[in-house]
Amino acid sequence: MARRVVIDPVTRIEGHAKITIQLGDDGTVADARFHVAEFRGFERFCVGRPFWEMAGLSARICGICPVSHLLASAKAGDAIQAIHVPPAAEKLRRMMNLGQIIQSHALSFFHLSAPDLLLGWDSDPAKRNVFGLIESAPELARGGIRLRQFGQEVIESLGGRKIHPAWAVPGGVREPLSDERRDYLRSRLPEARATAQAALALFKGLLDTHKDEIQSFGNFPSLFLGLVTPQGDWEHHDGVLRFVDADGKVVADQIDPTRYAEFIGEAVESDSYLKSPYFKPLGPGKGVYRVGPLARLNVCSHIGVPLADAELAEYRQRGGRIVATSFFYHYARLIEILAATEFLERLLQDPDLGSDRLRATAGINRQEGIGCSEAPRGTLFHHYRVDENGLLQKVNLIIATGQNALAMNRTVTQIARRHVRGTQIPESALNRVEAGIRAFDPCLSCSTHAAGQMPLVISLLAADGTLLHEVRRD
Amino acid sequence: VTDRILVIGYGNELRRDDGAGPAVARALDSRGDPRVVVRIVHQLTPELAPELAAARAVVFVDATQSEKSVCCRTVADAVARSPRGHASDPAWLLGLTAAAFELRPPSWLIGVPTEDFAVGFGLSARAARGVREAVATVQQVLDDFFNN
Repeated sequence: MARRVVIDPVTRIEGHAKITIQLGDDGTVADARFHVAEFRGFERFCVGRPFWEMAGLSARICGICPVSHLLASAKAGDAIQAIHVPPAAEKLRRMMNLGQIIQSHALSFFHLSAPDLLLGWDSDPAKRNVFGLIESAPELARGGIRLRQFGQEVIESLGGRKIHPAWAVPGGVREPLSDERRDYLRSRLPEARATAQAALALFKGLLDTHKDEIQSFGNFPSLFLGLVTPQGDWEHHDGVLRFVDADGKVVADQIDPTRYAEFIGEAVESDSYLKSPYFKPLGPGKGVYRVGPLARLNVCSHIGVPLADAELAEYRQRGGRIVATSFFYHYARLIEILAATEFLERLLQDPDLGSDRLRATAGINRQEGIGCSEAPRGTLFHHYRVDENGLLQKVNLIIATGQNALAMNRTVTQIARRHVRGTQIPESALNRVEAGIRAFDPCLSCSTHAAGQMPLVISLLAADGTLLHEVRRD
Repeated sequence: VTDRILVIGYGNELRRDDGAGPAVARALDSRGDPRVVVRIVHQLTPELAPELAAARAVVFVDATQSEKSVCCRTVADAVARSPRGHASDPAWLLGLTAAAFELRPPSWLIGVPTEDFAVGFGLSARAARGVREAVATVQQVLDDFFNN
């Protein structure tokens, strides 16, 4: 009899989700799926609102990555007004996005994933959390807490608050960075960089102990998407879209983000509220692509800053020019933190930041606008259509976690096939399945903050829906 | 460690009375007491731990539905554990501070009586009264602490 194993909710990710593992008649894993069981509805209930409000409204989508939505929305607003933002505003927006990348990646690595990596997949679940990490590697844990604090301070220094800052607006930004905060952030940079470098050294030292996970955590060929500069370097705020395949071949390049719909289709799955985008020219079957840190390092030629570029070279020596294993999302995340500190250092020295020209103003010059930015988890699109008064008629949001949905299904299937046998899931296998998802750092837009372990219920269902077995972890 | 007391008012100001903690913190901040650092936050997130470690004492201010009048109690750090669900609490944050930084600042939690957590701005009459009383309570805690 075919059976299903349900892991609900998945823990130590941003939001609630569940995993269903479908067993075949022979007791082996036939298929596995990652479901998002929450419905948010932002694309619908924002219709009718003035587009000027969208930056502030859409920042409320998420408490972890509000900045990403804020910036993508402000850029869509720029497009509707058909204006270029002042140079100082563009640089300040970049600075906030770098702070966002640092704080979000630090949360993902130090708080959510490092306990698995350092303490081991089979360690006591009660200790496999940030407290266990503190016990095992206190300096690293302290550094990780302070690194996230630094990222949040960058955001707060610009936006006045670290969560949901209503600071970026169509046309620019509301406030400059004060000299006092500029000096303060500069003073914090060396420690942030040292923490990123220490974590990188530690992670590289752990790779030999996680060979099996490197092989089985979402290690498959796919396409990769990310923003790059016109020259092909790492980009996080502007630039053009690039798709590469698993062999490193550039399959689409120099794509203005306003043309995203020519390249990205959006499939809807009946068992999840998460949309499943795919590379349109290849269709939903062959067009699976990944976004986020792994993809950004795969699509770029260089990063553009020396320390991170040196790490990128070593990363490619270890994983290949195109890294296929999703386990390396963690590695890529750490390199991006390092890169963010280097780019921040440059920006903090930029004389343009002293300008008081921070916002361009205009009316409604276009009735359609698309904003694109790299959120920590991957490429983010905000697409608005407005009437002649600027009231929203259509809103389409393509978020990073959605773009990774098909790849996460494959990842869960791959891990489950390796570790799940019969009708029982041991703790070690359960955590590996979850950790495979966690490598993507999925954000389910819950607008709240998951910093630890949530209750876990595993239900084993027969094909007809009958509950065969249930395990609860409180 | 600084000589200052950290006051953290937390809650969601878009959920009416859940903004009681931030309202108390804002009122205290407007007094400009140099002995006090005020933080207004949605939630008690882990990166607050270094700020707790740097404070001489900590006062948390939160909305409560279980009390009819403003309450004040001391908070001890919790044993090491992961936060439950999407929210942490003062004991968990103190536990994180103690584990990571080996510091345990004396701490109090001030509860503001509330009743309306619907979506929207503004406090109910009950919460508004509670905020006024809570400001006085926090001030008393601060004065007692500095005088002792």
